[in-house]
Amino acid sequence: MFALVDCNNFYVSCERVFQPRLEGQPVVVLSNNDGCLISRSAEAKALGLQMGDPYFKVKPLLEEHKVAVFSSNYALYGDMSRRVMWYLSQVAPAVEVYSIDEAFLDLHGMERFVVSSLDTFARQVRTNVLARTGIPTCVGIAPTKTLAKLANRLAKKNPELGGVCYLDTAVRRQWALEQVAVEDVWGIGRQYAQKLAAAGITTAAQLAACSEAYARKHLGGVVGARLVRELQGFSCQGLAPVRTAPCRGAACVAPAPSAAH
Amino acid sequence: MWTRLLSATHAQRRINPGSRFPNPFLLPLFSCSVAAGYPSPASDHQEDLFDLNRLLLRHPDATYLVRVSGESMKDAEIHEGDLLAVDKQMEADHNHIVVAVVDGECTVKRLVCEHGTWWLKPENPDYKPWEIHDAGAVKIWGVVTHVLHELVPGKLAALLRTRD
Repeated sequence: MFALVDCNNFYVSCERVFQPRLEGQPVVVLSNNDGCLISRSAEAKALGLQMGDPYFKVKPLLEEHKVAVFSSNYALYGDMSRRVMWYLSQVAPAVEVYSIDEAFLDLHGMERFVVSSLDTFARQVRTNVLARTGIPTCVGIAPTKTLAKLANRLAKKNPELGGVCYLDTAVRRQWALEQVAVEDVWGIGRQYAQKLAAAGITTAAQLAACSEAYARKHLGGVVGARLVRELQGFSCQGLAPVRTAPCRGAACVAPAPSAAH
Repeated sequence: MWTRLLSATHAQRRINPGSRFPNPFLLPLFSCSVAAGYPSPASDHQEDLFDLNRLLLRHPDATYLVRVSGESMKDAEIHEGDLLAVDKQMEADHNHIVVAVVDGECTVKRLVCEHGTWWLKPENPDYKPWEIHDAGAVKIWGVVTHVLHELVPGKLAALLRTRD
């Protein structure tokens, strides 16, 4: 199993840690030179503010709703990110820091070590990251990285899941695939999404039902074939090796591809 | 009265959980105690350099530097302009000095339990203690583990001046 741990509205969450009064208030963070919105709190998203909105355009809306606006402070975000990643590297056998606010954990063999289920493990990880850093997270767990990414998306979109989405059975995987549009699959860009839509494929479930030959032909050869296999639950990619390991105990060695059982 | 929170990054200093992190803050640790009078020749042979964070902090990766404003804790030797090391991972307990969030503002007070009632108590007779009626209304941000107080005004004072 792989897990994807992702920090919610990371830059906004970092600002909130040190200014608790912003809890429950709409908050946005701007890109370099205050160009556009790069992080929005849930309250700001509810106002219809979009990722990448130019600041000058949405300024009246921000003022009207008394949205707290911050210039980006990358020194702070980098520091908070390192604290989160450091913790993750201590609880998982291997970690791939995928971006400033998300990391893949390779949990192969972990089932034997965690007392209960990986679902409980993920909830503990969330609780501990929150306690140590004040940053809220979501966790997706699935047999492949592509499905873990998809599970993480569902954990974020469905509050009733409590921040954790664990795709441990074929039934759950199928349910998850049906929830997600094809353009939201990790590795499907706008071009491919349009191409697939024209062929009548609009959900991740429909994409997962494609044959390997079809994927090879229409989704860029072996890359597309792997993507579809990953959606079907067959792991084709392990953690990416990193040049500088984030820390001790997180040697990122890709495990051999394994089928989901 | 109120405390401004800054992360280690705001204060331009990293809190490093261990040597695998960049730029640990090293200080020589002398094996002999400092005695007045003639210096010991042994002090030329310093022991290893120690990372102050690793040496002092229980949870370096969950510890943040926080700047104090106000004198409500002066009797606990916490003064305006000091830096506090605040551990977010530690469970707050009776008699700990904590950073608490009251009405969205951070404040440094001593957490005290008397006859089943919890209080946030200042360490200064000019300030009133605060009874915690509703546990939901007060959040403990972290436990204060160390006070960094500059006896000779210098770099810390200068740093704080640039941040005002």
